[in-house]
Amino acid sequence: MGQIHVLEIIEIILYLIVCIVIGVAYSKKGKSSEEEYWVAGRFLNKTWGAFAVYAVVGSASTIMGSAGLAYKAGFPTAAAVALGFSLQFPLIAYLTAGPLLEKNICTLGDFFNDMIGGKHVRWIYSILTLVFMAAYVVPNLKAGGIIGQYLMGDMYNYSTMAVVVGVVILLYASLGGMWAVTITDIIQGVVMMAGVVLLGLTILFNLGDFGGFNGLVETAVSTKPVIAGLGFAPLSVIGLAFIWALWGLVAPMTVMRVLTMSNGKSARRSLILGSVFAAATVVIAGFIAMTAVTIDPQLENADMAFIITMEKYFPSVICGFLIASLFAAIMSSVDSFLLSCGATVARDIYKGLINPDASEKTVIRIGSVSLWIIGIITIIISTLSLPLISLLTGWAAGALISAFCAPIVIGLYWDGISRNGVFWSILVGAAGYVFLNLSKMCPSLAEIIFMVPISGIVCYVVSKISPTKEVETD
Amino acid sequence: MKKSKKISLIASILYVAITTVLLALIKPTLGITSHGMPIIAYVMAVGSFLSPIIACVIIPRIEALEEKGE
Repeated sequence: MGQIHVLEIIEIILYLIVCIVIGVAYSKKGKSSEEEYWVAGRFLNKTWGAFAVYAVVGSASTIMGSAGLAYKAGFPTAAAVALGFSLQFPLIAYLTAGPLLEKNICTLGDFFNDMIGGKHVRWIYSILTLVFMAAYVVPNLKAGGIIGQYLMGDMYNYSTMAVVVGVVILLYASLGGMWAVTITDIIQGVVMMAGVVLLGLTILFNLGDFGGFNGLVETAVSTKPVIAGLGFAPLSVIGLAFIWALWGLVAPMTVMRVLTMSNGKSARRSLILGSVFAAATVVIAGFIAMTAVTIDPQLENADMAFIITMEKYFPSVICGFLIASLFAAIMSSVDSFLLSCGATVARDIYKGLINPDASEKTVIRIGSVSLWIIGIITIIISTLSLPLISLLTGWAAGALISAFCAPIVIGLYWDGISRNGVFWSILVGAAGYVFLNLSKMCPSLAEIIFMVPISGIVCYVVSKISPTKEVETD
Repeated sequence: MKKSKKISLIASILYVAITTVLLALIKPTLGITSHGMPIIAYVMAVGSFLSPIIACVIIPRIEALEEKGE
């Protein structure tokens, strides 16, 4: 480090320009109607849908974060995350994709409104989603900042680059809505997959044969024994796997992406392909981390594991391509999340709760403005000093799962669910998660193991006490 | 409850149960390979590719049942 990586910077700037051009090109199409803006006219087929789904889930935590996690907490921990990812899409495919598409709805807020109803439910859903989604954007911007710091040879700190990346994402996400985000996601999905596979294959070819691979593992384990063990409490590792398994059921961005599929069948096929992509990425990232251990076992920032490995094996031109793939991962997740935040404010809060007669144009305009406000707030937070990327994403995802997982699944399968049951289930899930996290009563990341069942029980009991029919007459 | 929904639910519960068992087996000391890696890490990595494949077998069955309206 220490030198400015000019070639890589040029490649990334070109990449970002392409993204913005796409945003502008699709801005007219995206704003022609609300459905075009939020779910891209539901145009995706199986193959492109898989890349789009993968790009949404394949955030900074998947590539940089998994390598960093394996480096710091061991390959078994990364394998647990891979297992969680592989469960994520089949669970969506089984449990939620079909019913959601049947309802012809655009956001999870619509789901709560159509299936459940009630202002108190919609308010609590909207507010919690905004807070936790904003929290999820932060680690991705942190990853952008770390890469930026590397590119500028430590001349600028990561905070400065987090601001640059954040503003670019805001620009094209607010211009084109889901059309721009979906088209760029497909490109980013392809670039990310190619980048990770390329680095993995290069490491394998450099090792020569299987004996070389064994040698790599042995060297990594003897240099840094934790790479073969668990760096966290076993319950935390279990919690981490469950967070990624259940994440797709509640992630507003994944649900919105499912809704861009042309039909339920395409959605299911895309989700399965996407799950293979995501699990493969995490496993490869684990091996990249082992290689990083043999290069530098004393990394101050474990999230740099992917970058130092890449720097060792590739010339600048390919490094630039791979860094663009990391940027792709960050941008695709952040843009989807910010768009979901915009949708929550515009459709769920403004149109749904404040002004039901608002015109489509007003709703889209409010969505764009709130996207910028939320974006700027998250950019400011991301400039602060923060822990490991994968832990940050795990916390934010865990909070959303604790609050929404049980009521969504129960709501889809049990007609007896009531508004009050959903309201208290969300409230207890979220508050319990925050309490367990702050009080340290259970290992970090393991909160959902307790809170999802508790939230489900609350949902069932309150629904029984306060049935749907009585509530609907309110 | 429709037959297709029942299969969906049972498959999901099985998925979660299998994950729990695999994860509960995580111990750094369990089945160490010659180069010092726990076998369970490999098992989980392989397992992560198996679940979507299983999904490929089950999902067409659910779709067939849905088309019949069951």
